[in-house]
Amino acid sequence: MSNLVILPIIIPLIAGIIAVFLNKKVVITRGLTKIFIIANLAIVSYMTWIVFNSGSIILETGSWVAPYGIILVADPLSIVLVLTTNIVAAACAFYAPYSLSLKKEQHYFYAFYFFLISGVSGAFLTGDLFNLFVFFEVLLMASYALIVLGGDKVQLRESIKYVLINLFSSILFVTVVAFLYGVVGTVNMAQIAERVQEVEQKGVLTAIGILLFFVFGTKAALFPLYYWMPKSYIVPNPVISALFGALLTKVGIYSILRVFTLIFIHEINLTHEMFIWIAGLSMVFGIIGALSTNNIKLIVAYNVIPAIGFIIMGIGIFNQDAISGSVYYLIHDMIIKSALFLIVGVIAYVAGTSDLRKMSGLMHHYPLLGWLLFVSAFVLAGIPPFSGFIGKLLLLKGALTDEKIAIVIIALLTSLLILYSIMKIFIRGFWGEKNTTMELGKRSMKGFIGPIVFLLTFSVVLGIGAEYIYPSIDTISAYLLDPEQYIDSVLKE
Amino acid sequence: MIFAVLIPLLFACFVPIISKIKHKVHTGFFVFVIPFMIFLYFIRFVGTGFSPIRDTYNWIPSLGINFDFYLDGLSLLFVLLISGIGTLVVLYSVYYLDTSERLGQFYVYLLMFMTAMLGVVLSDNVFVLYVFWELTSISSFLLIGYWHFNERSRYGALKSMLITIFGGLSMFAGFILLTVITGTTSIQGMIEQKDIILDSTYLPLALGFILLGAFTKSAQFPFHIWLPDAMEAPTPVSAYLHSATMVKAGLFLVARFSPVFSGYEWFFIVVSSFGIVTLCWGSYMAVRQTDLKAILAFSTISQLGMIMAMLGFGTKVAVFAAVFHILNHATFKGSLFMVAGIIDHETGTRDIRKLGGLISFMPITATLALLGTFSMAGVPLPFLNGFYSKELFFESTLNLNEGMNGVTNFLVQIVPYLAVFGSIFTFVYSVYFFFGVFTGKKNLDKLPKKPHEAPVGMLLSPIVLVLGVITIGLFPNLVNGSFLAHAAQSVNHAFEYKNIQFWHGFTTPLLMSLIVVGIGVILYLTRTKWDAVYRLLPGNWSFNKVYNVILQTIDTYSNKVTNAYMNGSVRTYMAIILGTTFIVTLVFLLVTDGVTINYDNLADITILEISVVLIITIAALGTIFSNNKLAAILILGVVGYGVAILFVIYRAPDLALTQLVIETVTVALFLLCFYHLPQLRKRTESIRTKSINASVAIGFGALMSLIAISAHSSNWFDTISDYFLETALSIGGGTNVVNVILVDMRGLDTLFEITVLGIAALAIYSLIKLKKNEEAD
Amino acid sequence: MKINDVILQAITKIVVFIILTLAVYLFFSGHHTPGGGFVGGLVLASAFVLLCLAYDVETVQKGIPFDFKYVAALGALIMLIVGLGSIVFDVPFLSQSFTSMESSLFGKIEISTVTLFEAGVALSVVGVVVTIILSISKDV
Repeated sequence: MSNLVILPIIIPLIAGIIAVFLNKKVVITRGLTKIFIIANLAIVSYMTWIVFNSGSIILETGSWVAPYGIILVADPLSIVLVLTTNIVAAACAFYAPYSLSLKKEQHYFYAFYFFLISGVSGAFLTGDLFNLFVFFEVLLMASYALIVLGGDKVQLRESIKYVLINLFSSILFVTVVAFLYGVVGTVNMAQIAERVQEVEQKGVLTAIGILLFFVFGTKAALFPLYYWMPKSYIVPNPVISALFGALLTKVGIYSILRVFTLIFIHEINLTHEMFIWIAGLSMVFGIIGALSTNNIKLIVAYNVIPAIGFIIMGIGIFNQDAISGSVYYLIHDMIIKSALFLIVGVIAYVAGTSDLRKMSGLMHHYPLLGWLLFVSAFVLAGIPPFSGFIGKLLLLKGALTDEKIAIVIIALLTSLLILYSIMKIFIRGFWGEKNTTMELGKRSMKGFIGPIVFLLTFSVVLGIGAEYIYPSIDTISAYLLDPEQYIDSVLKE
Repeated sequence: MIFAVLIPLLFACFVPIISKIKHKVHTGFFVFVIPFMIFLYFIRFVGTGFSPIRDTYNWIPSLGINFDFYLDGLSLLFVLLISGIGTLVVLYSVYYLDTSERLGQFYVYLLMFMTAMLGVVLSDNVFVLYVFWELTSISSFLLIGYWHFNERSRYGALKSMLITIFGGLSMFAGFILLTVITGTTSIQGMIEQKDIILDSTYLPLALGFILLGAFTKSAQFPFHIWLPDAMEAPTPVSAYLHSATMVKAGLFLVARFSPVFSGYEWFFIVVSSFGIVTLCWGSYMAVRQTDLKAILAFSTISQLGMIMAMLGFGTKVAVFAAVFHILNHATFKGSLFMVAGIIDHETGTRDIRKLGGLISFMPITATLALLGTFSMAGVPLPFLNGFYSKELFFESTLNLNEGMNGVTNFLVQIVPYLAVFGSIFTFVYSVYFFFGVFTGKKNLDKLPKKPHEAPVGMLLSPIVLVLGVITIGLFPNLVNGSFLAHAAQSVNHAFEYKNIQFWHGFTTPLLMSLIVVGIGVILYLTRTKWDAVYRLLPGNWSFNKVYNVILQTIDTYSNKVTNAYMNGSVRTYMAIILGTTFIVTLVFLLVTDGVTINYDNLADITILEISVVLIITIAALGTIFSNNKLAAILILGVVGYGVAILFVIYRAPDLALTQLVIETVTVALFLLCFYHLPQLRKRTESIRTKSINASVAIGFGALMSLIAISAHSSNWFDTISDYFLETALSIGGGTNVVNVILVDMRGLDTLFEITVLGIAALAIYSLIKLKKNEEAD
Repeated sequence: MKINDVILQAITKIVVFIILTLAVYLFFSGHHTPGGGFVGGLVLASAFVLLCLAYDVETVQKGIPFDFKYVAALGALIMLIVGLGSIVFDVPFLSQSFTSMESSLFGKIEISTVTLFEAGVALSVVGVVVTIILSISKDV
């Protein structure tokens, strides 16, 4: 028993409620936001240290013992993801005041921001399938609020699709939880895993698992469920896009990772084989989308899809290297995707447009921004020595160990095209003659650069300092491949 | 050794500071020291008694990725080339680049490249090699795009990056494959386990992946297309990266791995045939070029092909000739690039059609060019190093081992002829390069600048290189035993030292050389008569077009494909999402034999239940088909109340109560914003769309029902709700179990569901409020 | 939205009180018989809905002058504080406890953290529903 596990969920909740009361006093809210998020980051770092040194922390909320009450589990996977979430969130907290208009800040941006973090952390930490649904609702509702913040026509047009499709998947989610409860009589994930194992996932269980996969796949923006994603991610303010890109789809993919390494692991030849196909298709169609546009924000948004493809590929291959690769890639992508959204946000701001065809020669005025974009392009494409490289190495090694050649080739070509899609921004937007039609050099980048550099530092450290991080990731994948550990730690009594 | 590799990169960090005073002291003078020191550091290893040195620094040991430096003969050859030519190139660049240029950036890129290249040739760890390999691509990209305001620079930079990184990624896959097969990340370790690799079923794949990396980097046909466009880089860069060092990384890779693969016949077939084709195509195309640097670029392609072919042959003579030619090519091609740079710098053009008769203005440059081009052409003179390696090349083509495979034997037959063919054209363009520029008509009025001899500093570097050409030509054994023999031995372990001689008597290779010179002279003199042949081949097609078409296709098709399915209609999206979910889940349900229908343990169905369900169904359908929005809202309410009645029937008063109130509030809300709701319109979709949508909806509903029934029919376990019933009062302190569950057992759910409601309220408030504000502005 | 329906307004005045009483009853009876904070809150809120339908929004707001967004937030805060209490007593988050005592006036009274939690729920629900209604109807 330790109430520590609840802290990353309720600290943002408290902060969010405070932000509701202080909505007009923006200066105070900004300050408090930074204080709260840093405090939260510190607590989560401490928890991470505990989890890796003395094992998972488990909380049986309301003193109701597992499997009857709601269990929160800070195991190596979830705590690492919560940590990454808070890193990204911290960067966004410092970026937000420069990027948002005062009105948006006053209309509860900070409250929604904290509710979003609370929901995301909860989704990572819960050990209860129904509670996962609840946290999904929290983060989705916060995201609905954030996506329409400002109320532009284009925002409303895209967000209606976003809301409708996500609402549908939520309904499906709760229905599937009911089905599963009907069969195994419990919603505690450890107990579900135990019982599914007992009957060897027979009968209707695999079909239920697949439905659950589609629920999470819709949230994760997998092929062909991602329609809601690209355009809805670019309509809100960049800082919101960054939060979405880093957190929302990743919660979906985390859920797939959790459920398909813990519960539905007895028909791997069917389920996980399909994941590899979906991975390939997500990569191909995602990158095609990224290449199809001249809108720099949309380029980045489409790039979310192939990244998800890489992660699901590792889950599909399902050996230790591949799972390590998926986890590494997941963490890497959370950070770099938010950094990229922040970067293109600044580019669009200083250039006054997000249309690549109208830009050129930004390098003359904003060299630093150019280099940040340049580095991020390589980070994203998995070019060494940055973070994407280690993840890709592990994924490909896992794939080749299991003789999955086709997906390796697709993955490599996709990497190349990812690089191309981002370098297009660099070459066309930053290189070239000064563009006289744009009023360049007038808008200052003050305040924007710090958070981006902060995030990119992590990308570099995750790559160059892999020796300090990889062993932990390896622990996580070993842990994921041995579901007994999770089951025992939750249901030990 | 790690220090030697990393010092350029470390120094690069200080370059931006140094470049602040570039107007007083040219930044190049500071940078010059770095490669020179590295050269001095490594030159001491040269000697007959040399044996390989290993030096390891941990990086990511848990993944087997370490800075594992291995200096053997082959690496030493490359290290000296990189640092030696690097020194000269930096010196040359001091005079070539004006201080008004962005010198800081230039030297940062150049130093970055130096580290990368040293890393490539010294790494024994495949992944570290890959890291440095990509770094060479990146720095090359930046250097080609140095003058990025030129459209052509941007084009060339992108092209080189896409092609070389494509190859790099492929090579990466090959490395992983080798690691998976052998369990080691060390190249020497792989060589020791070559039997395992040769037995593996992955052998062709691994070879293919790695060769793709080597061929793209070393500009082998048909991946050569990036190299001519890379000539947009400043000339020192072309001399350094795109002739002497980076493009040879591919050769290095093949040489490095030949101990592993040489026992495999397809290694010979693929590498030799790519090499020999590249040789012929490159030299054939070089003759047609009009830009001096383009001639040199195609010439480089062809020479790289020649070396590649020799590495493919893999015989003792061939391997020796290959390493020998790597050295020779660096000397004469480096000097020729610098000469081209001087001509460009002093006359303002590189177009050979405008140039002519420069020998009287630039006698020193002309001398340098003469020696360089003749060495490249392989003219049989005892002071030209190019002749020696060219003759060894001919010799090697004559002594190829017959193999088991028909393709091998075919290759063995035709290689000597192709070698002569390629060399004839090499002769032609070399001669053309010299005579076209330095002799013939002077047309000074066409030149942008009045030509004069270059400053001494600029001439210094090419002079040193040409001195190298002559020295090696006169005393070939000076570099032989102490240096080249070691390099050859690291490629072919069976290699033994032999003296190089100018005169062998009348042998077939000499005859071949004479044929080359003879036909070459004739072709050069008559070249205006036969150049119509280029209209036939390549005529209108080229791999450049292929590249351009691929990029264009990517652009247009990605746009078409994406717009085709991302049509913005949420109806389409939902149809696809539901349809996919339906089909896949159905397949899984059937494949895993998931349908279970079990009638036991069911209560009787009463008339009341049936009628309520009927009402709900009719009301739901009514909502869909209603054309009046008020009616639709009210009928929707009926659905809700119907569900509430069902709750009553199943004795769930709490749920019924909640459902009733919620339904009431919802309907009231709907009525409140009644005027804002859009008018319901008659749907205008075609029957086909309608029927697709209908069947997706019905199918999905049926599937969900089927799964629901199956789930209900397979309740194999006790549910946790029994525990709730037992403990609600004793632990929870309440007799209303539903309430105890809500506020106590699953209080966390309630807390956050309430939060969800709160967020929703705030969201609606801020949406409406903010929109009003915007409108007011 | 100006509505001038005298009959509706007259009935509303009476019905609102009946609804309010029902709401309070549901709220307190929740732990043992059907009802609870959620339903109680909803019923309470529906009284507001009725008021809004019968009178115009401005009038209603003049009568009940709090910012319902804060009411909603306050409700959530109360629930959170109940949870945080468990942290102070070093028991798992959201552990509820109850005790009963005899009182001369009301007989046996149960005192429980649950009631506080329920109050939070009810406040939030009222706050949420009313906020939404006010926002939407003001937009008209």
